[in-house]
This record gives sequence, structure tokens and C-alpha cells, in this order.
Amino acid sequence: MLDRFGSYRGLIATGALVALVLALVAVAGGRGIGEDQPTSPGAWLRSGLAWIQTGEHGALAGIGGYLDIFSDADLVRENERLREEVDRLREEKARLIGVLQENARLRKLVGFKRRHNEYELAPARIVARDVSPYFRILTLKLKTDAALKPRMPVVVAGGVVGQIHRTYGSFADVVLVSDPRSRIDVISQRSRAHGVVKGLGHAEDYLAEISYLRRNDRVREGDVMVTSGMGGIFPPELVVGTVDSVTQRERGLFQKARLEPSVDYSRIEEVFVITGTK
Amino acid sequence: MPPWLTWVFGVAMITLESALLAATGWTVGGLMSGVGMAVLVGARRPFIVGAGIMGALLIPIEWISGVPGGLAAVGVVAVFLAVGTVRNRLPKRWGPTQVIVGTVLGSLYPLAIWLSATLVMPRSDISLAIVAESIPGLAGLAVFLAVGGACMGWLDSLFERTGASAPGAWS
Repeated sequence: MLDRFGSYRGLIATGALVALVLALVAVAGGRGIGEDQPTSPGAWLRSGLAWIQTGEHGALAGIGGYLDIFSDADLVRENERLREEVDRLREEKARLIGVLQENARLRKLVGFKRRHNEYELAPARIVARDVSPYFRILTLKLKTDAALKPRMPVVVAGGVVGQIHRTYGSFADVVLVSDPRSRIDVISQRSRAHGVVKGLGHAEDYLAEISYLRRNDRVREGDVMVTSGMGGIFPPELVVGTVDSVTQRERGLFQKARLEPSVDYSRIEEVFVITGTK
Repeated sequence: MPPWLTWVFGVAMITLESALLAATGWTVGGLMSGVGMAVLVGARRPFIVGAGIMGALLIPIEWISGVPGGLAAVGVVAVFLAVGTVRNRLPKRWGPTQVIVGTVLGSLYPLAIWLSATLVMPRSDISLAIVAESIPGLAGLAVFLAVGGACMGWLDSLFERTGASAPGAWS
């Protein structure tokens, strides 16, 4: 009997492995952003892995900093400073345009509530990335003890980074704008044309696509797209990116455009999570 | 190397890749270390022991890969089973043959992800990402297999010398 069982060991192992995979798909399959929260033991184990990742990240950053001594460290620092300055000015410009437009609308709409500059921000540090070439996830570690919830917006000075997917301890996974699962409701800052930004999963250029732009809407290259505030996840007037190209269609109701995100996701180290409004 | 240490080695490799990508900002393709571990375990461990190690590695791979809803597990198990079918025909010594065969069989991963994503989450259009990122990803996998395979071979030889992995000791 045992011999007969032994001859089927390979099949049993294969069956067990396939059953485990099917169980994982059955438990987590088809869940959207923010719907896949780990259980308490799961969160504990995931936090353990995140601490390992944090330690390895710190060690690698230390090695990188040591190697910088022998390379063009001044140039790197100068480049970094200028990049931050450009991000700040871009954000300032976008905010100014948004405020001007808001003022114009406020004259028409009595009681319109001002929502800018009133966010509660929790700083966090990027400690790891996904290891899949097709999905775009960052792991961040909070610097404060703010309570994070799924779907909270994550931003930097340059614009929108993404939204929180999973939280565990002081860590969280963030789905980037360029992840194929990401959908963000946007409007053009110039023409107020409305669309939905969908990630394409591209790694090098992080391009995304703007769908549901009406054919008659005048969208052109260089248009800055900002969050519309619809959907209740992202506050309005946060920069998402600029239009890279527009594809006009002869038929159908909508046109499509490619969007270049305003944030270079490969270079961000510190982010802010919008935990609420003041 | 005993199975539990192989698991530790796998977790270390996967977390190290994610930390490396975050520290360097390098994202194109990556090293596909989860898939690489499926190839290494499939090629260098007896099938039953390998299946046990893979089962224990599935959850860390699932968490760290960032792939939603069990799809990463589908992909790596497909690769592990495929490698298991050719395991006995591969030369024992880790080298270019294993790297090439592992990389070719690793291409089942994007295929399995695409098929299962189409079934489980049809609204998430990842076809473009798979077309754009698979070739750099497989190139990264080849690098991982060359380096990771050499590391694992070195660790295995260390344990063989000490007698901890003598025939029958762990498998």
C-alpha cells in the first residue's frame, strides 16, 4: 500500500502545488486596489519581510553612497537639487493656475469650498519595489505613526504618485499611476476636458493612457492633466502628467491620448500620503 | 543545502532584488528573481523536495512581486513544473545550458500571467506591459540564473563538503 502511495508521490506533490495556487487565486483573484488587505498573521509576516527589505535597502544605499565618493558625487547632488527645484516650480505653477481658475469659478458658484493647501500629509520613505516587470508597486515605510488606509493618495511635490493598496504595520504597498490596474479621473487644466488615466505598465517611460476623452474636446500635446476630484480618492487639482500625444479617431465617441506622468518614479525616495484634510 | 536553507536563500534573493531596484531606481525588466528561484529549485532539487520549497516560497513571491490575486503563483508554478519535466536531461553542473533552458522556460511566466489575468481580471489590460517588458525581463532572468545559480551551486558544494547534503540526508 505504501509502495503504491510512493509511486504516486510526484503526482501528489504536483496536485498539492496546483491546489495551493488555485486556493491563492480563489482567495485573492479579481480583487481591486485596496481590497486585498492581509490578515493579522499575514500582516505580521509581511512586515517581517518589509523589515528585511528595509535593511537591505539601507545597506545598498550605504554602498552606493560610499561608491559616490569615487564618482561624480557633486554632479549627482547638483542634478538632484535642480530636479527638486524644477518639481517645486512646476507644482507652484500648476497650483497657481488651479487657484486662478478656482477663483474664477468661485465668483460664479457661491459657497464653493476651497480645498487646496489643506491636506494632512504623512511623510514616508520608499524602501522597496515590486519584482514583476508588468505591475508597478512601491513599498513605503511611514515616518510617523499616522494611520494608513487603503486607497489613500500618495503624492510628491511634482504630482501624483499613486494610491495605497495594502497596509501592514508601518509599511504600505502603493499602486503607481502607471500600473495597469490604476484608474484616475482627470481633467485638462487648459480646456477642462475630462478623461480617465489608465496605467500601461511601462517601466522605462511610465507612459499612461487617457481614455474617455470626448472627440470634440480640444486636447493637445503639452496639456497638463490634473485630478478632477471625482471618485472621492484624489483631491482636485493635483498634477498627474502632461499629454504626450493625441490619437484622433474618425469614428466613435472618444479620442485617446498618451500621458507622460509628471513624476519620475524611478527617482523618488520620499513621498507624502494624504491622510485627510485640515 | 537543506530545504529550509534553500527557502531562506530564495527569500533573501527576492527581497534583495526589490531593495536593489528601490535603491538604484532601475525598473526596466528587473531580474524576475521569483521566476529565477522556480527555475533553480526545479532544476537543482529533487521534484518532491522542490515542490515543498516552491509551496513555501509562493506567499513571499506573491507579496513581493506586486502581482495581484495569485497570478504570480500561477506563473512561477507553471515554470517550476516545466523545468521539472526537463530536469533529468540537464547536465549536473550549473552552466550556460541551464541558464538558456531556464530563460526559455521562464517565458512561460508572462504567458501564464497574461492568460490568468485575462480570465481573473479582464478589465486590467496588461497585454501592452507584457509585450513591452517581457524581453528585458527575460534578459534580467538570464543574469539572475547565471549569478544565482552559481551562488546556489557554491552553497550546495559547501554543504556537500561538510556532509550535510549527503545522498539521503535531505531528499
